[in-house]
Amino acid sequence: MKRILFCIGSLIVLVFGGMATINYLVDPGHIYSTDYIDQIIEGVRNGYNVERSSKNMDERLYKAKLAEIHNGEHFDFLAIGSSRVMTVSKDALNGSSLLNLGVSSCKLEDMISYLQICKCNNICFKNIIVSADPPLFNESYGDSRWKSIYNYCDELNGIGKDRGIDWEKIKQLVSPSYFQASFADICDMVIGKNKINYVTSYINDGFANRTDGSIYYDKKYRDVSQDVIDDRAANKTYASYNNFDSCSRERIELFEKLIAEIKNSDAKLFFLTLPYHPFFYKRVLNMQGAYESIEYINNFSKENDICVIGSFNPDDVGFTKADFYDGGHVKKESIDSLILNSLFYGVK
Amino acid sequence: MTFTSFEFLLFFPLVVLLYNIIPQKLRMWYLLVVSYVFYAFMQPVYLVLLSAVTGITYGFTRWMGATEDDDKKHKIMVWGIILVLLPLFFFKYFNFVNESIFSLLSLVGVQSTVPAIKWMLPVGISFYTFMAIGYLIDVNNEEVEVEKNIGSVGLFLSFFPYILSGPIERAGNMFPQLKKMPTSQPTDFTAGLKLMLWGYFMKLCVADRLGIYVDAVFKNIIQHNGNTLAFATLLYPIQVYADLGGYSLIAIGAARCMGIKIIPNFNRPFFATSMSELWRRWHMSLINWLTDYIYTPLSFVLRKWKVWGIVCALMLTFLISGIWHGAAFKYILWGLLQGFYLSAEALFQKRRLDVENKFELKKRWWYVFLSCLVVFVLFAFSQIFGKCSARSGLAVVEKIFTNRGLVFIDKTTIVYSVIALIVMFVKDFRDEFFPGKMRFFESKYFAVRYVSYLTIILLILLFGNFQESQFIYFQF
Repeated sequence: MKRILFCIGSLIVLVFGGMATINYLVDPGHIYSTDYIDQIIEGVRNGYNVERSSKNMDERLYKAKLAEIHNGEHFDFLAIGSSRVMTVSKDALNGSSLLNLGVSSCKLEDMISYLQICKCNNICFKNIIVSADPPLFNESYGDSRWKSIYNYCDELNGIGKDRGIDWEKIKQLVSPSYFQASFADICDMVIGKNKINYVTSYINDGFANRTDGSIYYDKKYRDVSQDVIDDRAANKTYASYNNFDSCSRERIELFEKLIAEIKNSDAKLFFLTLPYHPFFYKRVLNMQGAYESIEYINNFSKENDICVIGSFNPDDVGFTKADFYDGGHVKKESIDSLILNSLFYGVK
Repeated sequence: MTFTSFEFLLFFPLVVLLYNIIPQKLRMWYLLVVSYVFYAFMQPVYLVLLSAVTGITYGFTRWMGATEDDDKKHKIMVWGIILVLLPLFFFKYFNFVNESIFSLLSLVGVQSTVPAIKWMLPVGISFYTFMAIGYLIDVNNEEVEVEKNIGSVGLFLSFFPYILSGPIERAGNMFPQLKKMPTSQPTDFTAGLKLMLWGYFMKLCVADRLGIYVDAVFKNIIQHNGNTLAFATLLYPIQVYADLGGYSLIAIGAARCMGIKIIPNFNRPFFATSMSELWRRWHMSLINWLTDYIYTPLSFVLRKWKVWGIVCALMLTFLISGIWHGAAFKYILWGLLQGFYLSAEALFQKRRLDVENKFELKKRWWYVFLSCLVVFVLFAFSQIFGKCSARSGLAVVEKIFTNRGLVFIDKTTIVYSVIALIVMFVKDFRDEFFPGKMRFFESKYFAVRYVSYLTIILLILLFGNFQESQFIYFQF
């Protein structure tokens, strides 16, 4: 029995110890060290776009730091929301200034935090674009990445009062999923792919973080055939839409509080309801919660006289499959034309 | 808390440790409490239901034990079975029966007045209901003695390794073990852990990986061509085998760590050379239950019809099997298809045997290979109706035969799945045709065993799908 226990014990130590070590040293999500983020911030602060081969990092922390370097500035537009708004750049705003604080799988807590961050840093906006997407109301989606910036999220409804240890980061040390990402990154590290470049153009081979906070996808993701895009739309699983059985009442209440706060400020509010790829739109309509959320967003904006840019239904805005990178992400050029037409050229 | 959750990895070692520490007399009650706590993590409110089924089973078996008259005993058994079946009918079949009846009545203008029930299906209800019924019948047939200790009956029905998705255990196998409650022996402990390790590999690396692709295709039947649907159809039974087979191994292994031996559930089903053999290797606990309590009595009653009696018994047995799997026409269709396969085999069995013996086909590797392939394809085809609704299933079948195109390949998922599948297949192949050869987990050299364990753990960590996933058989 002693031999068995030794075997088990040594396996546990080897496996978990090895996993934790590799996860910490490789750190594919750059969550244990802020050097990576600091390098990007440095580039952006100096007016460069930043090209990187790895998309992974603590986006929330990056956007918080991005806001901090714009302390005391005034912008024409603020954009907050999910990855669907992250490609909205100043190119879509007819030369207006923009600070894009969108983050992947944005939750309401993220939006609240970023508004707080801007307030704390005396950043003013004339207009606020909120990407009002159905997953905001999906209670089942338990992403807790917003906790990375919990410091800022304590004024509305007592959210984020829990300022304990960030257990998520500790859990990632022994996370098999993180280990898989670490293993993939080891190969990139060996061949020197995991680097950051300061560039002037935002169109590069790698993923680009632009000076206004927006992003531009890497070549591998954007330059694919329409069949691949359609496959992504038809088959890819989007975690924030999982188990989307109903539109959460609690999420609605929080959302309405957030919108009331924005309306009470001096900024004009816009809802950005970007269309879905036609294939993905069909899937979304079959999700009870997503369907209810779309109905709610449309009705809420009408009842509260909020200006809406775009529509979830691609047919409403004349979008085809060719306007998308995947199920939910519109091509930059298509976003630019949609927003320019809606906001500046008066084209419906 | 599922077997693949982090909480279970903390829960289980603690349970085993305490099991070996506490006095033997208290172990049965300890495991009963642990099993109820485990179930409470899933659906605490349905503990009341589990307790009720336990109480009814215990009460009726004690009543049968106190009755001398066989007819009266039989009547008590029937009433016990009806009462035990009521919750299953209520939660699982009520809406289906209600909707079906009113669909028919609406044809003559009668509208539905009975609302649907929107309560969640209690996890494991199909499994513990069948175990309770089996126990009632065994007591009636005097195959097992009446268990006087309600704690034993409670533990038999709720034992945490098998309550959620089986195997469907028998009173005759469990009660003697539950009386002994031995301390974990090193051989049982290591055997149990090896089974669990292999079960996790099957579940996380094969089943969950394949599930990404199979689910993506079957959720978007309209978008995919016939070739893609055919490919996903062939992968689905492998996914189910790895899922339920893996889960069963974890359950069997967990019990084995405590010295309790649970019946096996799968025996390398894809090496079956006939459908009847496949059903002797696939979900064995369910099929043995159906054979002992449905098929055998039915075929005895219908024995005068000779081979047609067998056919009727097979069709009815698999119809019940289909209904057990779920309250939908697709499961009935699935069950009838299995019954049809087996009936066709029964009708042509003699002729097939004659041909096989005449040409000594069973010794020819290509014949064995072809037989396995044909059985696999037929089984995969029937599984379409396990995956989709009846209407979608028919649409899939139509597309497979009429709609050509390039197969949609999700490279990462398929590559990972294929690697894991090859490992699983090689192990099954070795066990089937070369048992005792190339022993890794069972090697006499400690270093070989150690490296084998480490390799499988690494494969699980590198290829496993760790997103939230439920075992396919959870809602049964």
